[in-house]
Amino acid sequence: MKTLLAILAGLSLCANLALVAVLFAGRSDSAATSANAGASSATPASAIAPAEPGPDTWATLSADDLPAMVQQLRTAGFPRELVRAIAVARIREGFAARYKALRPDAASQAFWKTATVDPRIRAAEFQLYREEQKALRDLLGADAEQPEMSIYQNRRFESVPAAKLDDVKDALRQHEERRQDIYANAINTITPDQQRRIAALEKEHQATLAGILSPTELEDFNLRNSNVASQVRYELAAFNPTEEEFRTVYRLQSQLEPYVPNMSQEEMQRRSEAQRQVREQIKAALGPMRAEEYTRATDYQYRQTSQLISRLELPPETTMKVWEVKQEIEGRANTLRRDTSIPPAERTKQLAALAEESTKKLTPLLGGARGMEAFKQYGGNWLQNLTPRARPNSPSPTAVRIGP
Amino acid sequence: MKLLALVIAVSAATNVALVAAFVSKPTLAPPSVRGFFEFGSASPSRASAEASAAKSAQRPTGDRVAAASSKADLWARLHTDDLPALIARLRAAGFPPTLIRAIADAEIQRRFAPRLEEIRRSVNETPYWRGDPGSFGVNRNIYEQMTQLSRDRAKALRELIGQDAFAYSGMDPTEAQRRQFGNLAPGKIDLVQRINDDYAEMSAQIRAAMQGITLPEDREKLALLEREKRADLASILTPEELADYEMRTSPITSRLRTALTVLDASEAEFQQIYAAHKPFAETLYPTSSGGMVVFTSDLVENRRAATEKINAQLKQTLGDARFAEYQRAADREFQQLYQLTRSENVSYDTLVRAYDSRQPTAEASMKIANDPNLSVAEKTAALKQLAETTRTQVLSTLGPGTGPVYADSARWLTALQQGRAFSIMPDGNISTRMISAPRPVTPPPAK
Repeated sequence: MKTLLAILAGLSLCANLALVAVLFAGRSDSAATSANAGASSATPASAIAPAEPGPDTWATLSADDLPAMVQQLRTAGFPRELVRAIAVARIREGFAARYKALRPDAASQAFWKTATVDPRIRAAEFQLYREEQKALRDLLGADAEQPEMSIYQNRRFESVPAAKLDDVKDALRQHEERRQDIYANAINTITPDQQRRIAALEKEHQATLAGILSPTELEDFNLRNSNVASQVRYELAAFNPTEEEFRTVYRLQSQLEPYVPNMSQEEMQRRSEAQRQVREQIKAALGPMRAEEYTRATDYQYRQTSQLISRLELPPETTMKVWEVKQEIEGRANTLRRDTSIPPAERTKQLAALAEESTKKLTPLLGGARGMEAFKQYGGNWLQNLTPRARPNSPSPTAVRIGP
Repeated sequence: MKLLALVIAVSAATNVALVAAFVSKPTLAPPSVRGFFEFGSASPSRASAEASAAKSAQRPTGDRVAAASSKADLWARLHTDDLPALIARLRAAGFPPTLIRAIADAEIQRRFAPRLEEIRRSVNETPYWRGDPGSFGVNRNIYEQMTQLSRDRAKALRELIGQDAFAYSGMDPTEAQRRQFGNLAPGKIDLVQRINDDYAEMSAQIRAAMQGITLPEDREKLALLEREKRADLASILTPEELADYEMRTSPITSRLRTALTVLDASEAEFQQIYAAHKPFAETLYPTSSGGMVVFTSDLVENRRAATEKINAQLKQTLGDARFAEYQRAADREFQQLYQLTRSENVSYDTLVRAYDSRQPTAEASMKIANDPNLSVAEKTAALKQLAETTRTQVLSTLGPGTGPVYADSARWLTALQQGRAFSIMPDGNISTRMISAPRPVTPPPAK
């Protein structure tokens, strides 16, 4: 018992010594800090010690004078992106009352109603946003540019020489603002007048870019950013083009006048003929083998079939086999339709038999009924043309985007 | 023996007193061992961070003056990699909620930058002549990664700053929340958001694997998730709260908003219209891999049948007159006309008159198209003449402001001007018909 008490006493006394040592070490550390502070300045220690920020810290940053605030934030070591984030929030606050005035009832707006229906309000909001952006540029200069969140940043501008990048971005911004002016007044559809203005604006924009970039640089820029290039990229997704093939198709496709809504019958026929000629030129430029692949790969139903085959984890060559069945059946169906000697009822019967034959041939290729059912939606729309429509006016199957 | 006991008692009391002193004032210890006396200091919780920040905010005026006059390293003193502690310090330093939100958002963005960079790298590796790798139709994995990144950022912000996550663009947080969540208590809003985040992540994984092709099993999986999500929501919300939340967030409500605005629907009317649509939600807005739905003839037929049933019910509940207004308000062209007239103060009656001129014009155009006594050229000329008369009528009804814009954008009038006839389908859509020479009569097959 006595030995145990002696051990406890020893341990406790050791702990006393250790804690007292810590206390002294802590005091000498404080003294050293004060001494260092004193050595660096003649001002009283309480004023120059690394004081913790207090409840008035924000208020002392000249928050009402934005240029002064930005200067102080920079001096205070705030990183560039935080200075920008704070400036954006402060400028937005400054504009909040004007935004609110445009839609004073927004807060009490019933949740089942939409807030923006008046084009004047939308246009005014665009204008306010523009003023806001200008205020930000005036305040921060080069730092006003948003930290790039887009995953396409490199891809969009990789071909633009660094020295011309700012000018190109500036031209894009101005072009976008002018487009917004037109779209602000467009409701649901673009009127022919608005369409003309957009086309003129696009030409002007190209001229502006041509003033900044050399012809080669401009083409490289357009290959990455133009609507035509986007369309060609989309269409050639299953064609797997080389760079040279892509450029060839792009150049030929660029010759076409852009599509405009509400074309007259004659205009549509002219455009359709021009499109046909361009496709022939493309095929001639690609050579016979690639031309055939191009024809297939740019067919929407072929692309969908290819996607479905991949999703069903079937061998890739299945796409071609399914395609061959389609070509054969459609060829026979067209012969039937052209043969005016066949009475309509008999023609319908024969087409229905063709549909049945197709299903029999395709089902095993597609891995059974599950694949066949999916094919009716993805790539097999042509099957529906073999059976008579129940309703003469019902729209043909089509892919549409739904949802908000 | 007694002396030894006394020594132990005094020594132990001294130890307790010294430890208590260090705990109550950790700065008595040197920085190297201070952490032992700051509970949770290695990763301070939001509460302790707030407490310590609040304590520093209550320092004597002399210290505050020091803080104000010594700004050169202010960010260094405010900043910590522990975000809850940073937010607590910003609050204690008097930063307003909108700025705290802005700083928190920027800091979170910085932390998510490596993930974004990873996605960007896979985009950069794709040459410009190949399909846009991030577009929905080309690479759904990147698309889903981007949307997941965006959800994760929003979630991190909400978890970090709570209700202040809504404090942006000069909006009152409670107003933004009320529109989305009604009168739910803040704690319940938080739970609802967590449930939404969890299920959004699970369904994003399913959608990414779908590669744009929706198979029956995908629909089942997504439907199961929907049911489970609803069950989870039902476990934290009362039946009334759940019904209200579903109404606010349903695709039915989103799709009907413009029509309900044009109709100027009351809450009771909205509820009737919503209730009529609800049983047909899956037919009207089918489950899809991200919004793209292939409308087969079966689906088109099912939608038509569903619309007929909905309309029959609404005709009863709303009454004939109001139902007619609802149908008009749901028509895209009437919505366009309504929006055009907002800026011109054209009366509602006037725009109804302009809109209603379509029906007799459609009938007249079809009469011309079907007239066996007219040649193609005569029909085309008559249709163009009809277009001119109708255009004049529309301009005179709507006035010089709205009239020309509407006349230029109405698809049926453009078709007429181009010499095509048109009819109005039961669903309100326009069907145009080109005038062409009749097919030659097929001679009977030779015997």
